Amino acid sequence: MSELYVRPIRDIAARMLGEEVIVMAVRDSRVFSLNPTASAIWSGADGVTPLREIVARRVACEFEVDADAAYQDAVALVEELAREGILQISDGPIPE
Amino acid sequence: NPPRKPYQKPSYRQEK
Repeated sequence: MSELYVRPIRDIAARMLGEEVIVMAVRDSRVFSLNPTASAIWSGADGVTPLREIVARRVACEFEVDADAAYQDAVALVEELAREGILQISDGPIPE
Repeated sequence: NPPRKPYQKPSYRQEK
């Protein structure tokens, strides 16, 4: 099973407000609010930790959810954020 | 272990 790696693109500003991450895309000033679960995934998106590990450490341990179900939801989320142009996805580590 | 929080599917919204 191949691993997925995720990292925010360079041209964004992200801040944690309470349990939610607010992301601003610098190029077009779009602003996104991530819910606490999505924020946990975003916070672990360092480009070198596999998404499955991020979910296991930050979602499955913190929330009442099965790790496999949480991973499927996480994949759907990161694909959407990639379509929005604020997150990179790769099947290998993403260098800075 | 601290009690786990209720799970919400990860989601986002675009602000206006």
